[in-house]
Amino acid sequence: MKRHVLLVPAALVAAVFLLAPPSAGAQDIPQLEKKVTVHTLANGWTFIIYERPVAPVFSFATHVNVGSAQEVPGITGMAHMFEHMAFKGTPHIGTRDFEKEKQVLDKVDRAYMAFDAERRKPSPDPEKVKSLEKAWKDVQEEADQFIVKNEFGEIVDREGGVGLNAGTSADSTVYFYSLPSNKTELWAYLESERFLNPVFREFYKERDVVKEERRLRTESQPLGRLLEQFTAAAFIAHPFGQPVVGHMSDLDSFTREDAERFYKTYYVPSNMVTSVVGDVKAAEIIPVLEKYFGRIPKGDPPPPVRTVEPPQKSERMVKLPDPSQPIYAEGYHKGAATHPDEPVFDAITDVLSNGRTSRLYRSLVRDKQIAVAAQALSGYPGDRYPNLFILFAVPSPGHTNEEIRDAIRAELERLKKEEISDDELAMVKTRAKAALIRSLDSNGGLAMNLAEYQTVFGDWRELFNWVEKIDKVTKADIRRVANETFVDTNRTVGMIETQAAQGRPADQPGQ
Amino acid sequence: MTHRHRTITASFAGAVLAAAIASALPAAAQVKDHRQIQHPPMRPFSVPEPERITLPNGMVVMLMEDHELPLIEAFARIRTGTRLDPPGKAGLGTIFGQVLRTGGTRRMTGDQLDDFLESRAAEIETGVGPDSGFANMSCLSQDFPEVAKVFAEILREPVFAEDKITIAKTAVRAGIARRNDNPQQIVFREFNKLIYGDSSPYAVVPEYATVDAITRDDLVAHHRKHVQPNRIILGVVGDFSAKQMAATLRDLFKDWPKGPAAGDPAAAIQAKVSPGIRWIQKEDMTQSNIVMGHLGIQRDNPDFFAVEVLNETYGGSFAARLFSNVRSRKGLAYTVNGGVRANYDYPGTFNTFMTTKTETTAAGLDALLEEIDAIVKNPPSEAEIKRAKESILNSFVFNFASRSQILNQQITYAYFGFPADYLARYRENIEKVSAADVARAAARYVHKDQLAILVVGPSKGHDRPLESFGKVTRLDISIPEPKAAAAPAATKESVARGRALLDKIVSGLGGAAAVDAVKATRITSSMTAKTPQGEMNLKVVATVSLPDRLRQELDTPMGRMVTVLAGQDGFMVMPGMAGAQPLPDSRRADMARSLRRQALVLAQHRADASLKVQHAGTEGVDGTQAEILLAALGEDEVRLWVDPASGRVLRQAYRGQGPAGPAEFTVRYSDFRQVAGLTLPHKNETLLDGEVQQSAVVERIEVNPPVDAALFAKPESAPASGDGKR
Repeated sequence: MKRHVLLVPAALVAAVFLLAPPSAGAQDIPQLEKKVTVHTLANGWTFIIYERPVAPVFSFATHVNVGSAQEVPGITGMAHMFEHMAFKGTPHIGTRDFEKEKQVLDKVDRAYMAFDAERRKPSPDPEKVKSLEKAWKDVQEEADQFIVKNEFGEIVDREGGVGLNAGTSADSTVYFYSLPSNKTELWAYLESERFLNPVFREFYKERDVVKEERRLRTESQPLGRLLEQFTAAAFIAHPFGQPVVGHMSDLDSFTREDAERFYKTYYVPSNMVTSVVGDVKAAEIIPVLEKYFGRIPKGDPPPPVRTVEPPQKSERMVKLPDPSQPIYAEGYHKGAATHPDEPVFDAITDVLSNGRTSRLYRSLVRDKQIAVAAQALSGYPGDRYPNLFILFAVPSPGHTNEEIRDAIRAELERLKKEEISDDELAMVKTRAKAALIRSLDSNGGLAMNLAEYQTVFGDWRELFNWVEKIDKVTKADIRRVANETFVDTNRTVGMIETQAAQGRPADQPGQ
Repeated sequence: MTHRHRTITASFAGAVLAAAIASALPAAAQVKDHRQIQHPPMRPFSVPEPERITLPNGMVVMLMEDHELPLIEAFARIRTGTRLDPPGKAGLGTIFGQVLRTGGTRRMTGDQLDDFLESRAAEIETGVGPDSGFANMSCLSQDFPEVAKVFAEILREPVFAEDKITIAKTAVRAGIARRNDNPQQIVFREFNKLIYGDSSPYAVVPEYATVDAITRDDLVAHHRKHVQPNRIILGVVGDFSAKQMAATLRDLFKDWPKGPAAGDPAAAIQAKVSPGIRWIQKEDMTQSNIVMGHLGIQRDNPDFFAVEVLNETYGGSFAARLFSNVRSRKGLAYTVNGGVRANYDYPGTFNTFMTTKTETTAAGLDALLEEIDAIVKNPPSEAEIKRAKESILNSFVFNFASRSQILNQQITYAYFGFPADYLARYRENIEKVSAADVARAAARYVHKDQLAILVVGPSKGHDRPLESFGKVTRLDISIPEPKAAAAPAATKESVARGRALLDKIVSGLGGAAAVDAVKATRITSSMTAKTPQGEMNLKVVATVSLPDRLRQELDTPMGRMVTVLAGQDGFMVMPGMAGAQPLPDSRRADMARSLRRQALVLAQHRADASLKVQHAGTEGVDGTQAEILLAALGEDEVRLWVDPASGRVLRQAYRGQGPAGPAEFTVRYSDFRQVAGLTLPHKNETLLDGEVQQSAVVERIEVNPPVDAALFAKPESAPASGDGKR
């Protein structure tokens, strides 16, 4: 799995290193369990508590097993939109008078529906559209007077919270921040409250905010423009091909009701994992979790993603004419994170692009000097479903995408034809272990990893097992997986082709 | 050696004094309001402090044991900075910072270093920022002795190998070529220039010419001058005994003698911001990026703490005014932030930034100006101040979340000459801030009448013209092209031979009288051009009205595209788009240059003092031994290959902006025919880096055709909004 740094407690890691060969494995899990407590509430919400009393603070991550992969046309961007709404408060947070506010919120919905119905008519009456839009905006202003702006964030802030934020990807939504450790009860209240009864106030204004986010990240950045086209080309059936932020027309159309429906379907306790890392004690915090998170009803398990990406039959190509400088990317379909070959892809990623000894750096940046950066990445755009192994590079001035393509292909062919060296394989394994140790020094990073592994594999221990899995990767595995994966018909290419300055051809007035 | 610990429990508990009640949970009581929840006091926690040593050679060392993980990290802060880059060598610090590590040492090449470190999963990285340099190291504690040795060698004996300098320069050049691709990079780079001044070391950026000017000798000299033990503060944190570590470091650096006393020039700031609105055209965006502000403060300013509280209420959080009003209430932006920024030893900026869709550019500007006005006229209330102070004080403990964080803070304070207890005093100083202090700080450091405002974005679709905010100045951010390989120094002889060759061109064209009679030309040709969509056949009509007007009409499969240069102005009419668009500055400059390198134009300027020529040897061109003329009318150099027998220009070459950055263009001319007493080529081919990009066959050349002035006038239908040049 990409990004996920592996983890294991300090003492154990030290042991792994002192006792060569590094074969410490399953037998050490009981030791690990002393620091980690897993607690699942009756409603299905799973908590992972890791005691790390370094400073009187703690971090948490709430991982929801939902992302843009759960969206269908018409509501693309909804997982991300809900993530924004989870900061808008509850009947107790963010309002001056919820009973009155609720009535006005219903009026906002009705006014929006009326406006929307008119503007979607085959031949809408422009005057009517305008007046209905005004009526809708007016009633939003009416609702505004009941709102205590951003009270949820304000409470976290005022109580000393740091790093309050959230993120949505193609297959997950994560909420996180850190607080001083004497405020665990306040945290449990706030975190359960926001998912127990979120109030979608300011929905349509926040929709505008999200549209600005789309303009910022996707429309006004060359890489954003390329990746949207590239990803759409790589998947013809699976929702991984959809943009996480959503299509503009959907952002302009989906309703508060759509958001409610999405929330009710996917924000059920059995679909959520929260990890708490830092200066906490499991015995003390579990009753608090029971009290607050236990308030949330059980709910039905969410429906699975039915669509499976069919095998690719032909190479696909995206050439984006763009005023910016060239960028080259290519991607190959591969299995989900739970596929047994996943550690092999991690090893390939490491050999190809980790550091200045990596093959792509040495070939493209150091020797050929045709690129200023080259990177391999396994698990794009997500890893819970079959996904892509991608390679991309930034050409040096004066060098072309075609040169980059040829150099990347040469490295992939090498992986297919020859076994990697002993030194390279040893380096992969050493670095995997060191990365794991380095990942242990941050509450926030640990919380993120624990919750993610628990969600993806159903067991946080897989974090630890991962080191062993990397350790078992052989040269033959790498060659086999390279031969299975890096084939022409399994490939999608995406590139920015710099548009020649307009009008360049007719440069010649006199001669 | 023992660590001194400072107990801070009591003061942390200060903010929650009243709530010192244990959290026995009343299971039945359902919490409806967060205010019902009481917090237990924070547990006793002592902040570890680093052990400080000064080595005999002046190096300051700070050590901090941390036995949680089997790792050791080192952080060296070096007294240098990109602000010391000499004029004409912008980029020196950046390249130095990279090659210090990648270029290898006397004992190991850069590649050997990479192998050595990465096989141990160890890391050493170096770099230079505006006000300091760094060399950082991280390794497993078992590898420390050998990795530390390498670390010391990198600091003491780097060799700056030429091949790694080349790689570093390529990276900087790529950065230059790509620096206008990302809107936010543009907006902050150009804003810094407005605030600190174009040539300020805090605003200047590398250019192709400044990178070309940097040599290995410069890096060696920079190292000798700045990387000296008495200019380094070294912090080490991790799994070691401080006593042993002190001995190891003494040993490692004992034979490194103290360097010369520091004598760094103070980096001046030419702080004469001219208020007003600036606009940078960028069409591949659906938003405008807006930033406004002026000079900020330095961290040693006694009002710094009041400013911290001010910032928290203004733009520092979810509950701050900018986020609440501009984002949540108005839905105008995803990104909006701002504050009076402080640097340690030079002023920061007061800035306020947002991105908003093109259609709400003016609404966004209004919203930011309103907030800037309000923060002074309607300064933060007691409630806002209370919230801001609680937020700062309650999160204070996060300054001590890890030992490497604590160590790095101490290194920073020591580097800039701040007292070691600065952070402890920070807390007290924040507590003392009153509403009146904040109001005074707002009035003192926020000036609505002195704002430099910068907008980056598309030219069309604004809700109101930018002119409604004041006179708009359009900024040219086109990337200066690198100079061609330096021409051989002109000698009397080469200049004289150049003049003679120019005279041959004049007679080759048809003689002085025919040349000087040309006031205008119109050339109709059919052209084949390579484009990203494949080969394209185009009909081209180019009308020139000397000296500085040029109209090109291209009939493309998509429709007619018109590009017009009219002196300092220019516009384009694109197929499928209504109205005319302003010509980007880079394109306008390009067209003007294309005029100034024409043989006919050079010939007309033969007596002009701004035309520099020299003879530059001979070379075979398709079987003809051509003589080479280097000519520059103003700044724009061109190389002409001239058939000495006929005076015909067979080929020309120049540096220009290619699709992937600066490139060498060559044009080959052939099929010379007589037109109105002139001999002109009727075929040409343009090559980019040696590959044919386009070829043209001239169908008709008209000399001095009637030229309607309207050809160079912008169509009336062009929407006015947003064209900052009006």
